[in-house]
Amino acid sequence: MAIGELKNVRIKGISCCLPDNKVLNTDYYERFGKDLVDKAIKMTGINTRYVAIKEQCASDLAYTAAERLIEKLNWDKDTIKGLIFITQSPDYRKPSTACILQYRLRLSEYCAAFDVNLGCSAFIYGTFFGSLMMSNNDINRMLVLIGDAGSRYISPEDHSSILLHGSAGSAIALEYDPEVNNSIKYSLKTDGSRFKSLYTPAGASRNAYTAKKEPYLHDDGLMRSDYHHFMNGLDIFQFSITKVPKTIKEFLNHYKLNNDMFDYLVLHQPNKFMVEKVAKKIDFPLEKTLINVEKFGNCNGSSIPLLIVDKIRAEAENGRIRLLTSGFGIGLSWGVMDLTLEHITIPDIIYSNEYYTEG
Amino acid sequence: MEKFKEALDIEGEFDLNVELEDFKEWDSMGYISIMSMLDDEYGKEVNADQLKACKTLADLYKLVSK
Repeated sequence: MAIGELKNVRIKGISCCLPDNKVLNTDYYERFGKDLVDKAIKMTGINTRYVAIKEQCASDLAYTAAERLIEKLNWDKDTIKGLIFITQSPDYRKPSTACILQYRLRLSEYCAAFDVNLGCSAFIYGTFFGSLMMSNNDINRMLVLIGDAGSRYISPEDHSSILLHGSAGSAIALEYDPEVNNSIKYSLKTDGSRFKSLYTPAGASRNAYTAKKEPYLHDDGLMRSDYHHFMNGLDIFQFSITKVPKTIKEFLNHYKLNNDMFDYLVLHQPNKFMVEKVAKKIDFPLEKTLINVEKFGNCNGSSIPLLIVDKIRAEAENGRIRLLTSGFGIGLSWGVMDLTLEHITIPDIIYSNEYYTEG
Repeated sequence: MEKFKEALDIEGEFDLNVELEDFKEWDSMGYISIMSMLDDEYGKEVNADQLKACKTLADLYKLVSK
């Protein structure tokens, strides 16, 4: 079982950057009809989203979040020895966008950098990888960057996905610290058998010679090309309301933990309905379940950092809070974490349309 | 029956042989409402294929009572 504890690691800071481009779901009345849009808003709870402008990549959002965090932490960049970028909208097919970010952030050459291809489980996996990388005592400071700006991969006619997605970038600063009392406990899981529930058929190696560039009508009644994102919403819904609560309960039992020990439940934010459903299934009080999907939409891997920065910033900066968190989705990949935040650094949420011009 | 109506947010009278496709609410969002209702009220975890295979309200009942 991928269940374990990470010791001697502290989250020092978290920051988030959103595109300075607010989109209202009611703006889609003309394209999809008022009935359909209103129904989607009612079901998902999503009113507004921030969507990357055309020139802006996920890495631009993550870069800005990272710069601001390093500045506020007052970290000497030469002390950062590791950078992980978790994304499903990389700058290029190759190389790893993390290498470009190492250069853009002007980090030292003595820095391990690589990409990880994960979505909604990114925060859990990122904290796991980042912590593990510091276990040899040679890397004392790490940056885990998460970014997605996937709206451009969604067919403009795919109302099932386009009304949900927001773009966001986030940065998590980790530090080795033998004085830390609270270990980070985790459980990580994968069910690749359902990979087609959320995927993009073309754009990489598989189907390279047969993929259709032009949109065509699919069984679900939507026009998409093979390069467009596909979601089987029903499958994902079913997965989220069964496997996720089951895994959380199993995790709590394994470590003999219970809901009362946690200050907040911090779940990935696919939509309001699903978040409330998962909370209800594990009997977690709704008033301690954080929700902000109505403002930002589904921001993939940045959902969890965005909740912390948006909803419980003061408590995380000035005190100590214990979070039960879970990220779940594409892969299908999911994880649960018991995480304590204590006096961490959190800059204001940044809204920016800046992008890299040397690419 | 009432729970079914509530989940789909529909009104009116009909019997068990009603074709589910006759409801314009029987779409992907309708499936989600029903899936969620079956889980809440009956503790039944049904998957997408099972739900899509239901043609009439009677089929849905059969699924629940399995």
